[in-house]
Amino acid sequence: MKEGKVLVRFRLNGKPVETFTKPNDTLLNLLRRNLGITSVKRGCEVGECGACTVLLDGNPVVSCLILAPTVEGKEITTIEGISKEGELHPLQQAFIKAGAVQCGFCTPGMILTAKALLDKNPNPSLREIKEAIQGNLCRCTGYTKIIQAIQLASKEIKSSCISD
Amino acid sequence: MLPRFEYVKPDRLEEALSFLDMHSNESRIIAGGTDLLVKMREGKTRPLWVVDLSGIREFGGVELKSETISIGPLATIREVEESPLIRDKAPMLSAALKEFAFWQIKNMATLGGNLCNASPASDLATPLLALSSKLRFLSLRGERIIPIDDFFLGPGETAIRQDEILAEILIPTPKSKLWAFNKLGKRSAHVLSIVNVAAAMEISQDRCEDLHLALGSVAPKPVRAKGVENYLKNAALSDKQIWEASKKVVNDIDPISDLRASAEYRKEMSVKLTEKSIKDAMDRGKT
Ligand SMILES: Cc1cc2nc3c(=O)[nH]c(=O)nc-3n(C[C@H](O)[C@H](O)[C@H](O)COP(=O)(O)OP(=O)(O)OC[C@H]3O[C@@H](n4cnc5c(N)ncnc54)[C@H](O)[C@@H]3O)c2cc1C
Ligand code: FES
Ligand code: FES
Repeated sequence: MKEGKVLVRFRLNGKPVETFTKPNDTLLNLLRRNLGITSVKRGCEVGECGACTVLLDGNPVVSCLILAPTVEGKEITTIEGISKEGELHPLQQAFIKAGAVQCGFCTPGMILTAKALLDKNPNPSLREIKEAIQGNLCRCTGYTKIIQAIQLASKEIKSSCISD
Repeated sequence: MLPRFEYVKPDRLEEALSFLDMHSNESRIIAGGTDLLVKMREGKTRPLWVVDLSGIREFGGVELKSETISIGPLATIREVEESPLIRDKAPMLSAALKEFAFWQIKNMATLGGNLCNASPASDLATPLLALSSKLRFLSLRGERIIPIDDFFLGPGETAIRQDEILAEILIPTPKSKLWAFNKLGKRSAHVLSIVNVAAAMEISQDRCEDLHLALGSVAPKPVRAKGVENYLKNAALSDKQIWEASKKVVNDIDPISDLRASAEYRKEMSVKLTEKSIKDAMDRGKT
């Protein structure tokens, strides 16, 4: 063990990561500073805006309130991890198509939460979508286009399942 | 940046208890971290050690032990909200947790952390009070079980001792199917409740046999409304009687004015939500 540092091993977007962290660092800092994943945004840092959302073992969490050493053995997914073989995830495509991105600050977190929703519930109702993204604040879009994008992606995913 | 501390993660319960025994003054347990990290960032708490309990297996999960529902302190809000056992045996708790924060926080926040944080606005404390829950603590010195009514002492203050871990939440399986939970907040996910009310009731031949009523956000700690409970005990449940009983709630509460609402508004809303909760609970008997 290095002086005052903790070794932490976890999977990031499917690949094993082994790194030292300060015991008092957050997962947000570890991802942005040590690992260069700046798609995870630093917003309020008190758990309220959702800009720092990542998936932890498939579930959305706010990385600003997670202590870095506590992710030992976990699977972390960021927006970089959801496209497959260079092709954007249906949600990413739907966000572009529906014009659901303005400044883009909320977008990575929003898409990750939406992905967790569609993974659990491929056919969510309007209410279920609204409930799921309650913790992801967007200051630009007024949410309408974001919700449309999630509905569009849900349709795309279903139809691609049928054609497979 | 968080203040400097060292991190320990005991793998076994005995290790955790010994560590807390030796370092009780300088350490803080971390569960979901949703309260602790905010407090550390604000400099409100500066532990030398942060003790992660997540390696201790027996602290998770929800199960039925004879007639008692047992919840591990590390069970998350979402786990408990979605537990089929809780939905079946203690639907009031599922309903209350549905209104709790939002998805990300629900995945992280634990029941044990919520109780030990002792916010007067906790959305968990009121249903657990109305359900006559008990809490089990462990330390090297042994085990202690207390009713939740004796646990909260004031904002952030509880009866837990520094070397103790909250080890289990025990809920006697409710006999009655009559319950209600009502929360008033400007936007339930983001704003702490202005007042929340939990009611559990038993009725026999249109008379109130038993009522357990608890309120949050309207006193320095979550409270039972004994005045209302006693007033209605064995009383006929007419609209007038319920209204008279509900007015008694002001004697059980001591609200403050803050950014979210004035004390006067909280008093008025406590009366209204008490009345609504009693009626909502009764309505469940009609279907
Ligand atoms: C954005 C946001 C929204 C929120 N919304 C709500 C809401 O709607 N309703 C609500 O009630 N709360 C809300 N909270 C508060 C918070 O999420 C809850 O209180 C949560 O349940 C705390 O649990 P935790 O596991 O995160 O606790 P932690 O932060 O890990 O711990 C809290 C305290 O309890 C102690 N502790 C934890 N576990 C134990 C144990 N087993 N034994 C002894 N001590 C222990 C810790 O040392 C610490 O002092 C919100 C918080 C945030 C950031
Ligand atoms: S930065 Fe984490 S929720 Fe705002
Ligand atoms: S697009 Fe700007 S915050 Fe959502």
